[in-house]
Amino acid sequence: MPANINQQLNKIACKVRQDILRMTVLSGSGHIAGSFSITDVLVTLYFSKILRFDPKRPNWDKRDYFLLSNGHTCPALYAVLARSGFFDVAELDTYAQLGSRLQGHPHFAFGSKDNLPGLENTSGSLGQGISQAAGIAWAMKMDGKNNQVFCMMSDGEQQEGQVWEAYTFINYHHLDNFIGIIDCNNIQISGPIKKVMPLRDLKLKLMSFGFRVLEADAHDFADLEKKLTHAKENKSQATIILASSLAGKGVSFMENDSKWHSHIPSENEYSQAIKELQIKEKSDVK
Amino acid sequence: MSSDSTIKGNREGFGEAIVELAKIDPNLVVLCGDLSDSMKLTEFKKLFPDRYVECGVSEQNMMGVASGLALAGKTPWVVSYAVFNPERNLDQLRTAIYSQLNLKIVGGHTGLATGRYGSTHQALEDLAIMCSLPTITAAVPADYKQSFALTKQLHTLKTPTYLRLSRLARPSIVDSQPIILGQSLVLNKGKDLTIFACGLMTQTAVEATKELEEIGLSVELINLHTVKPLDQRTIIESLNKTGAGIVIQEHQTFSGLNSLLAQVVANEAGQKITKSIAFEFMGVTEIFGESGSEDDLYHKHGLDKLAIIKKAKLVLEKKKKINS
Repeated sequence: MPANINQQLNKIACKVRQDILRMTVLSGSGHIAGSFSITDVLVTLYFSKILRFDPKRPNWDKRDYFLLSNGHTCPALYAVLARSGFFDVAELDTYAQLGSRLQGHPHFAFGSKDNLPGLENTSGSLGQGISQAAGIAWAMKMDGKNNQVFCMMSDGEQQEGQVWEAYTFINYHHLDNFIGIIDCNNIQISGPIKKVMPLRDLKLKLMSFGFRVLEADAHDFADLEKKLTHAKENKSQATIILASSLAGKGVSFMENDSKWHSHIPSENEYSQAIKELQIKEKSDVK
Repeated sequence: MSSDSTIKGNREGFGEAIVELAKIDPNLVVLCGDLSDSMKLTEFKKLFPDRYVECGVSEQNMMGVASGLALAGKTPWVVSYAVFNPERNLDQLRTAIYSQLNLKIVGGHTGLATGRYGSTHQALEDLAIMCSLPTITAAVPADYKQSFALTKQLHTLKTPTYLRLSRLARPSIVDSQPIILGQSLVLNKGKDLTIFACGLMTQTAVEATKELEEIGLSVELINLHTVKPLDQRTIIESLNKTGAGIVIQEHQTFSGLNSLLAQVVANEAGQKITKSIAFEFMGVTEIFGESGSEDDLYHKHGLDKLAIIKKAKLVLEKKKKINS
């Protein structure tokens, strides 16, 4: 990946993280840590031509689907959709306010004209997006279409039994148009995953279910682009990318601290965080 | 009353209707969790293998996959026993309905008559659960004919639906009126009391009505095959006439059809309902089911002809007190 593209993605990611902070502070709610840990993956998906989409035609029948399964990280998705041109960035400020299209956890209403453009599914109760993605993938196969279906999950979410039902289903039905991404930030609401309910060897488990498992650095745009492109171009097997991330990535005092799972920054913390992100936006640092 | 394998029941009505629907609607897909023969999907599987989605014993994923299929524009019928679907996968269904997805849920093996499998396979709460969800339409066919007709009509709705089926097959009700979703069937006209029944309890109520008429009572019998929305007009008209009602369902007594109907009466008291109404509610009361023959189970839990006759006497005594 040329350095200038890398720099461009970094700039967008810094803006997205500032959007997330603003939404969180304005509404007094939201999940910063997970939103920050998935930001770079989303920016890569939407801004380096991995996902096929057209913001002017959100229901375009040739689009690839992106489903967010860990719905609590939706501020990141909302910001990326806005910055991709699906809707006005100013609307982000309505996040979780009464009557907003940007619900505290994503709400998609089938057939409704009031949906947030670009949003594909409802999520918030963990473990469901993966099955929804499998259903869409099945429908695409049934209709002989080549749209691909991406699904973002969290690592804590892997504790849900439904996820493992879905993994069995996807591989039995050979849904090689499915690409899962697990945001591995190693924390959940009560603390480190290894202390709450360890997942053991996730890679080995996924391989034994039949997946092609790729590993990526969730904050290295070049690595993400390489792994996502590989998954997209090499069908014949459903893929899962284990994206190793840092919770709260991007703001020094928020990184790798489960306190920031759903903590809202004070005025001072907010200014400090914005300042850090603005400096990064202008630098060449990832 | 024991089951007769030559009789077509409401499962067969569903299985035959779904094949007919699939012939005309290429978007119809069926999902089932390893119970396709029991849920009478054998023919569908044979004729439409590409539209049958085997989900294995994974009902939560099944509902999620159905949601994905609906998001992609398909009309999925999601089929299993009611204790698993919608009870085990309620969270997934709730998300789907919140998303306005057009899912068609079929819950089999409801009520007590589920063979001798015992309580784990006897859904007695499913109507309460399903009717509590916004926008859902719920149908409880009494027999093969109703099931066939209602399956077809539910498919035409663009909103989520629930079809409640039974394992036991009972002979179809003798009645020539058209079966129309949302409209009740007045199976017998009378003036002393009204019996409201859904599902297999309808046939029990038919037998009880005959016997009550033989001893000189005038009984109105109304079949409510659509439990949500209820046919309020017919219910109110009948109660204004008779002043006494018995509601019977193969379900927990304090919810489902009983409570929905009670709400209609309470809401309309002093409005469209012009007098005090005596009531008796029948169902399985504050207890789970168990193994046993159908006849023994119905007898023990007060859901047989004799139990209705006893309730008829009770409700008429209440009515007398109200009017004295």
